[in-house]
Amino acid sequence: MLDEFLRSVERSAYRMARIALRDDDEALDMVQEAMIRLVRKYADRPLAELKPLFYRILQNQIRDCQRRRAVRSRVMAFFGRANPEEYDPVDLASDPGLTTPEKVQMDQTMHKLEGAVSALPARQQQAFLLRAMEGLDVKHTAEAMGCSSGSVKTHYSRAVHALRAKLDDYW
Amino acid sequence: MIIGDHDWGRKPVTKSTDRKNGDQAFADKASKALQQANEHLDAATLSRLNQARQAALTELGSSHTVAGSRWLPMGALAASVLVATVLWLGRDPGTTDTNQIAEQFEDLDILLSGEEFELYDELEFFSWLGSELDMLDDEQGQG
Repeated sequence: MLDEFLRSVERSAYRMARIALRDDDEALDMVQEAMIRLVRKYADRPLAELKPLFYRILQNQIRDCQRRRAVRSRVMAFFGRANPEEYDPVDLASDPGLTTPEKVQMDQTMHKLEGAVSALPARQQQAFLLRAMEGLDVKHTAEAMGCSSGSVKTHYSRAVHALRAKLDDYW
Repeated sequence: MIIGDHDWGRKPVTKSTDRKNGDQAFADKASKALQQANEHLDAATLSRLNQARQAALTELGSSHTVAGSRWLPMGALAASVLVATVLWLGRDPGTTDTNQIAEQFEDLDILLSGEEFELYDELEFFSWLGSELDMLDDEQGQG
């Protein structure tokens, strides 16, 4: 049961971590760590509870990683050194691989969409990805985000408006 | 009485309804794009995700062995008695210093609290920070 559950969330979890952290390797590490923590603490919970729990763990991991990065960045700046973890847009560009027109189109669409979602404030980003990508309802999104249903609706609505403002012309 | 142009059987379309429909249509498009992209992840990423899943499932095997043990509470009690004994025997026999005695039992309290020492997750960062500071000291010393 757990194997099937982890399979069902791994891709979305990776996408979410990648958009938040802008780094493929760190995103994969976050997903692994979240899976391990879920299994350690909540393996015996009913299946229906696992998804919000998993995404709550993942969001906490991502937030901790972002905080560590922020501290390192400030320390590096204090010592007058460039931050080696500066965001490089090339990192997020997908590997060309197969260059069928459909794949190229999909890559371009994703590049724009991921860039726009990355730029959202953290809570709007989380609400949007949990609702739109993972398909969680408002109640389970609220559990995953550790906030009220009202807050989820607000964050989600603002996210959609912000993304539309950037992408409506493109789409 | 003059009847207006409304179709009384239908709600009038307002700007708000338009925007709501537009938001939903956009969200549906974005959702579809994200799910499609997830279905077409490259082989290297899929392999790595598979490894992550296997690592978690391996954890399941070992954590269930520990959690299922009926002897764990007894073991914890025995360990705490042993630690208390060691602390008690290790004290300075002549001490009447209540602070020193209190410190020893505080250590015991910490050990038995069962807290997760997440501080140790940060050790890598603090170790890195320490080495950076050492390097800076060296550079300043040479300068």
